[in-house]
Amino acid sequence: MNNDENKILSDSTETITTSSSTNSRMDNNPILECKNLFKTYANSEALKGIDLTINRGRIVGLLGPNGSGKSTLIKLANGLLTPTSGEILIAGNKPGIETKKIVSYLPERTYLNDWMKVSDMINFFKDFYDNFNPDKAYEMLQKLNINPNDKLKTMSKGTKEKVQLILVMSREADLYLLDEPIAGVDPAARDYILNTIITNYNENATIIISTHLISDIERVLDDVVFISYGKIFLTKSVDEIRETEGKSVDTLFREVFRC
Amino acid sequence: MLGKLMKYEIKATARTLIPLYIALLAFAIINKIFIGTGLTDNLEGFGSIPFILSIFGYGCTMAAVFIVTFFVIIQRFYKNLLGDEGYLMNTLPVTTITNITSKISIATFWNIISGFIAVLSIIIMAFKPDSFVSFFHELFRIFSEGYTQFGVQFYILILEIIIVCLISLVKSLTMIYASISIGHLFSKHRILSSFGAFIVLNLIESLISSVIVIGTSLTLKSTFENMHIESLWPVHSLLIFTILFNLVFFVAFFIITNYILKNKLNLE
Amino acid sequence: MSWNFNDDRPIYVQLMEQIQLRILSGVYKIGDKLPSVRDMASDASVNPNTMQKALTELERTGLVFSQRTSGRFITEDSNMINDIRNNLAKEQIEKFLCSMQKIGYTKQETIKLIENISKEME
Repeated sequence: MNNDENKILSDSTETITTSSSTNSRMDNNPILECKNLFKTYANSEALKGIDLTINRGRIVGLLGPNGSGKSTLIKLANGLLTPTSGEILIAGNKPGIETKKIVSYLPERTYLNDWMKVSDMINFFKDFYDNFNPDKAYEMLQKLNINPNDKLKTMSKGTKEKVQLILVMSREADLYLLDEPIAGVDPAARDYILNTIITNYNENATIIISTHLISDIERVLDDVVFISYGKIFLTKSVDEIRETEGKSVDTLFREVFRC
Repeated sequence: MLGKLMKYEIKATARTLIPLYIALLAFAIINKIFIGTGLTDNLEGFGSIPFILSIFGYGCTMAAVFIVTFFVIIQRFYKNLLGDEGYLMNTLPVTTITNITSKISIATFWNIISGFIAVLSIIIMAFKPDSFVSFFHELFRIFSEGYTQFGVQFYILILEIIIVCLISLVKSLTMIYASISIGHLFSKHRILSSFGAFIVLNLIESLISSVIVIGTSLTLKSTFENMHIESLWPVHSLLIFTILFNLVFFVAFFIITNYILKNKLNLE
Repeated sequence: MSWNFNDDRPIYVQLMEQIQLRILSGVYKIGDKLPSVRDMASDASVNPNTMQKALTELERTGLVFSQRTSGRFITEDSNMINDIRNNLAKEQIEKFLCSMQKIGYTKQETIKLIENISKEME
């Protein structure tokens, strides 16, 4: 990393706040807070003292090279991992049943039960999540010409990923965590995914997208968080970066994380 | 939520087990037809091949029922909670305790059903109207004699035996889950570690139970020698002790499994 | 008309320009009701917050106004639109003349060249 990073290194406790021109919010508490968060595995420190606050109604990009700790942070937020030390809070609560109700998570892997049909999965989500909207799901499936009576076993990997995305975005959650939603996906599908994210946006919900493919999603993001070697490198809005640096986030990323 | 989890648990497993049950009963019925109509007495040489195949089929299916039941139980835990599906199951708004409980309850259920179907298939094959009736007569006689001699305690004893079987089944299941969970703690060779853990847990359990059994029999030796035969108390206490013993281990294994699933989960 | 963005300036600024262009060229007619923020954002493949910011800024300039419940509308003030059009044209011409000067044409030479080429284009 070169010296440019000193220019943009922000205070590690910087808050990503909503801009004054956006609409009034129903809730004002931050949707995600990390306080001196550490996560250590058997032989490596994945997160080293993360301090982060993310407010509602933002689409945030969690950007960093592979192994920087993005997935770890997301898993801590949805309760799949427990912190080694420090705190992580979702809408003021520790990860648990209450937070899982309002968090919708899209992992990199497909977690669908192969033996089920698409409609079975929709019923599954309906059973366990009060804020799941089956009509929305069916509508999105129809637009993609996916037959709900098809067995998941018979679908291609790409189609399964789309089904999973539809299920996740059909929940009316407060926090959406999308882990690498567009990696390994063809450009048309990528557009579809980004469009789904845009059209599903609601001003009381936050979407956190972790990815290393920045140029594709930059236009969709409000704010970016650069993470590297388990530490937050910078948190800024996309506009701020373009205004102060005169370059796109993608260009900045390449400079900052130059090998 | 537990009910819903159990519902999906049954749906996922029934598709594999029910066809096997049907196949087993079908073979039993086929065998019964061979035996019952006296065909077997007259068949010789090549003519008896269908019958032999049928018996063979029955045997294989019987073995399959038990092996598959065992594998389904393991696979449901391993794949659904610790595999890719774990990304979904562990982010549902349910506690790990609920998840584990749903697995245990349905695993117990299938174990009992498998046993029941196996017995049913044997009954089908061995069914003779006369022996059937005399069997029940005999059973009834044993029960009434037991009641006359020991009173209500006889039935309590039967109940205790059933509870022992149930608790020991549940304990074994939890031991398997605990072993799989311990195996999950390792980043490499998870399956091997699970086996290792299973062996170790078994050893620990055997060791403790041997120590207790030897210890109790030594200290209570004199008490036993002076016991009256009419009293059922020694049997009762043995059964109750076994129940408690298994209960303690069940709880311990459950706690281990829950702790690992809740705090040490590390999905790939 | 498709939406084009480059890397070095904030997107909301570029959105403002391109919406303005659409108004000038008649894609959005005077007095028309604009589509919802969400639809426009989806069409441009941008973050709805960004589109909102652009529209709010346009409201400030007066090119666009919003009515509480009915949504956003393009101004009826055709004078304002003409002014903007003229200013843009002026900008373009000034830029063009500078570029031509860099190549080595005087202003008169440039004007003559324009006349000749226009005739050829008919």
